[in-house]
Amino acid sequence: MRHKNGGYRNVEAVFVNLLDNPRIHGIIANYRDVTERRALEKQKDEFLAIASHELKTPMTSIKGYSQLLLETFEQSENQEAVMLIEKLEGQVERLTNLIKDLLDVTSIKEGQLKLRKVKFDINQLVVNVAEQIQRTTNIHVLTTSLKADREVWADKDRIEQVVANLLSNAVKYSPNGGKINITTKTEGDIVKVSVKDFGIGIDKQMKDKVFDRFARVTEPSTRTFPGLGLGLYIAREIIERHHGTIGVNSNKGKGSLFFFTLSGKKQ
Amino acid sequence: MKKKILIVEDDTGVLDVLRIILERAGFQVSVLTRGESILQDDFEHPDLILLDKQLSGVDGLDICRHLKTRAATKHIPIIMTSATPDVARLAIEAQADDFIEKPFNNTEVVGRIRHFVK
Repeated sequence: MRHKNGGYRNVEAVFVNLLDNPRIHGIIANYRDVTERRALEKQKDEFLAIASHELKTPMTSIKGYSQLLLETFEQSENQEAVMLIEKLEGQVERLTNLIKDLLDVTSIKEGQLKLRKVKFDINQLVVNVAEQIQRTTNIHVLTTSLKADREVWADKDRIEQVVANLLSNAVKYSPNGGKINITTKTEGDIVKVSVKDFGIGIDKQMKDKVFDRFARVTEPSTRTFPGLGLGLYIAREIIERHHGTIGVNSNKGKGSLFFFTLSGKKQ
Repeated sequence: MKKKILIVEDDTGVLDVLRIILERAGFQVSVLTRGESILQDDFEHPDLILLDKQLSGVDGLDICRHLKTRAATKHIPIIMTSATPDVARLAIEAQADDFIEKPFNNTEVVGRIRHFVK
């Protein structure tokens, strides 16, 4: 909106239609100047982008050195040191993924999440990711039922990220362990991937919010689960950018079924 | 005879760890923390260049384009590195032969290099 001094300001407006009210017969408009707030939000996003990028550089050294140490202790057959370094590497990986999520969120907000679409076998991708996630837990059993009979056109790395996110969530929110089933199937031109766990589930009020930024599922026992609450937000953005759908069916206490769809046709 | 790898990287933390990784893998390593000498063609030509995108003073992409347009250096394989995954596309457009995202796995770095220099 143009200000009387000639400059432009960002405003938020709320209109209340009272045309049917015989006493007022008008529309009430309420404007709020949000220029400073928008500028601060932009500054915050820029800071987040720079900070995440800068954090990745020392992470590169730390990750490199921990792998060198692991190699050294493996050669000298120092089993205790190997075990400790493997734990260190797990935490380095976790921190790296958190930084990547922050970078992804800033890319999404700036509309810069770029896709490199190729044709690939979704079943093979699911098998690979399931094997990776299985290695992170010994109280869960991941099983697959792969019936998708066509390849998909999508950004392979990004879809791998979505599948990894759904599987690691299934593990995280089944703290007592148990089965996790991953299925793929074809419905017309659409390929559907589903991840079913038998963990804590999500209550009705939270179900619509799990794909929001910084959404976190908690239990009444105030048990908290680690994470920034960005994974499903990023997953939704990735799937929607592919013109697919993502959703969840869940019953509190009985587990959740997350699913997403992708087109088998080139788009 | 050991293959020569030139690392162009301005972060000393990353530079040190890369040097150790590559020396352990049996390569002869030389390093540059700035890119100007490459633009002036004042450097010993290696068998492969590991080139960071974000250098102080000059952009790694410009260095890559420069090397790939000169007859004396266009045959040298260049692997670009960056903490920003979107740089992959820009690196390929600048005629880099490969791209590695930071943070990387040590085995991945060595494997990608060996793809070009046996």
